[in-house]
Amino acid sequence: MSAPDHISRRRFLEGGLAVAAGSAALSACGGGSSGSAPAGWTSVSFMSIGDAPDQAMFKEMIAAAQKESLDARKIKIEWRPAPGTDWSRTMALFSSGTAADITRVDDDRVYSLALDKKIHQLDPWMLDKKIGMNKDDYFDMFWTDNTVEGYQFCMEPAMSANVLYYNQDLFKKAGITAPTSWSQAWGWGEFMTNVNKLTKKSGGKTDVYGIGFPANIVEPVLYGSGGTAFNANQTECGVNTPANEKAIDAIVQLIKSGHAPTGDVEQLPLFNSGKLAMTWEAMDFVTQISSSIKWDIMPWPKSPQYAMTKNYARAFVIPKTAKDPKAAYLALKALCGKAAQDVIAKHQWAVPNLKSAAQGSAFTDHPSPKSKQVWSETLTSSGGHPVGISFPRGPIGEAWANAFVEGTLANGILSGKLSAKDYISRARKQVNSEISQLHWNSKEGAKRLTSSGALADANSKVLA
Amino acid sequence: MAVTAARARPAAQRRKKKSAWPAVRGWLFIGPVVIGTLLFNVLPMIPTLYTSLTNWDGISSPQWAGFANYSRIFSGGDPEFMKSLINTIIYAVVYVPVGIAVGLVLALLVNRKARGIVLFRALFFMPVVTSLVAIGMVWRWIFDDQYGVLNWLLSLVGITGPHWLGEPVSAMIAVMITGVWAIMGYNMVILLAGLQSVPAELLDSAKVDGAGALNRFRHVMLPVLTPALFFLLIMSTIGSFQVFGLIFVMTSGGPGDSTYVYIYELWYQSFQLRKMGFGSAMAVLLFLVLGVITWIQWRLSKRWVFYQ
Repeated sequence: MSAPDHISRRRFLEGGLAVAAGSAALSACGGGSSGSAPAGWTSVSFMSIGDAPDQAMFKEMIAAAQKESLDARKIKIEWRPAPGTDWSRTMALFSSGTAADITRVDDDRVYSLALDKKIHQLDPWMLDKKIGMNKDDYFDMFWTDNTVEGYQFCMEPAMSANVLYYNQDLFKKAGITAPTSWSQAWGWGEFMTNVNKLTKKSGGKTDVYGIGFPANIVEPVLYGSGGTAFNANQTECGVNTPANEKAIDAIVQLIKSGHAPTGDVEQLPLFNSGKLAMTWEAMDFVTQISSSIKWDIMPWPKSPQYAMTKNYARAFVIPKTAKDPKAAYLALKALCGKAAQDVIAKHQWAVPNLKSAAQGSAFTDHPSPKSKQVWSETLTSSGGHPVGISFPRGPIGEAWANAFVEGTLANGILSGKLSAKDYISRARKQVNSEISQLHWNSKEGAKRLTSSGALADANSKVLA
Repeated sequence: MAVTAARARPAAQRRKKKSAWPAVRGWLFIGPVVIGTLLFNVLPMIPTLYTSLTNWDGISSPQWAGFANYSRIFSGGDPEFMKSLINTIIYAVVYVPVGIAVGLVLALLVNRKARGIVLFRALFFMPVVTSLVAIGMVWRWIFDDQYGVLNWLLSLVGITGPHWLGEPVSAMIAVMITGVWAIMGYNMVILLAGLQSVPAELLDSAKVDGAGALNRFRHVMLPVLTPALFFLLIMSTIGSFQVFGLIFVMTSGGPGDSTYVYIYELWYQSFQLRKMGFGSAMAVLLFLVLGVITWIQWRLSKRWVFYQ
């Protein structure tokens, strides 16, 4: 008996049914959320990129915020699965008008989203007598780190607090004591001496690296050498002094001499196997450190004028497409409240911007590290000078970061193949070219903000 | 007679009806692919062409820019463009012939009746069904100068391996090796199919005429394989100009800009710098370049490709 040369109607229908059932099952898998709002409640969707542990923490934050204040207000935050860990996909959601009511964005993008009228100005709500926020409850950085020409368009519940993680056993063997506060940060010379002591080489190869860092180390190094991203009028790149070049050259020499690994080498396995004595990382590095490593944290050294760091903000915004913007604001405010901030502190995801959370037991009761103040001090000043770099926002800020921190020039520095002089000269050229194309100066941002119509109320300004 | 005609007509209609079914069935099979290709490959080319004539950050409304993005490409306004093009050409020049040669060697090796040969064919084909990201991650570990298997193996015979991904030349070589490894199974399968279509009587008569293995390969097998080789030449050339995933995972274009290729620059401009117009112009240009290369290859194929 030969096989039939056509599909029977029955088999065709069976196949169709199977496809339909499969599609239904798939759509059920993809549409996960933390549950819909009960009748009479206002629903606010929430989305942030992040890996599985991060998403679990967000859900815990949401639960804490619900209990603390949102249940009473009959507002329900609905967690939405995030599209991977890629910011460009988040931006695509803004482009298509489908971003969640509370969306976490790359902090560098807040400015352009505001000017494109994609997100809400928050000042009027923040200053409202009934639903506003108390300025003194938060570190100054909460209000000043990411403004659009002084106006609030995002909330940053926590900061990355990049610091040096060090291997205690390697320090002990080398007879080195780590500073425990930014006020005690090593000088540049002392740092270099200690990196030398910690580095172990044999047969022309490095067995133990003294220090490791990613490309964005150039920001604290340049600012620590007295540099600024731009001149006062923002008409030219500010990185142009011999001190800036000398500081960058020190970084290049560390790589060239084998005291620091090149950019292609993954630093986490090195640190976890005791082959890297110090590494500059954000706070969430903690969760990736092997339990076999005894570690603590210390400040980045003075390079050579100031000991500074770059705090990467966890920025949340309310898109203009939010169904109920006021409810979204209240939900976001609750996520910056004590209960949700304690969850952040408990998970050591980042330093909470709420003072009571950063100083409370959820933050301080962890067994490691011992010098937790090194993290929290990144939000303050040391010796009258801010520890965190106040980096310019907006298109020229992006241009600066693209030229100095991202892309091929940063690759060049981390490979040890590009000299400090060429690096600075080429990056400066890129930045200056962008400034020139944008016809930018220090007044241009305010002008563009006013003409864009992005401000709901120009007179409403938290930082007035 | 009228009765016969009346009976004959439905029979002819039935035959006609029956003969249409295979074509319908054929369209049902290829329909999803055709629709998918039209929707996701052909149609997006139209907005890409339009976007290339605008300045667009992916969020706000596009601003008409005419040919400014193309002008920027050709005037050297993007310092990385030429470097990325040169790197891509270097990669293609090595990847295409070496990939095909390795595929051919593998196809010759597995083109025999031996016990377990199917297993070897499957093993060689496995990289083709593996995610490029996973391949990149694994090869990155293999090439690691501290923990890498490769340098460990070299150390066993007293050789100090290079810092593969940390040196400009060795990083490009490492990416090429990985690229060839990832594609060799695909090339092998295509060429194996070609080898198995070589008529046995041709090989036998060549053998009777006293042709050795090398001559049989050169004068009998190779001419029969030329259509398959031509297909691989076109597909590999296109693939080599589109290399991105491996480089993204293994080197991020580094060290410096030594493995910074065309699509990496396109991605960086479009999604990191949000210059969608410029990225689209690069995409259109690549489409044209590949079209011209394919056309040249097609014209030249008349001289060396033999269809049976």
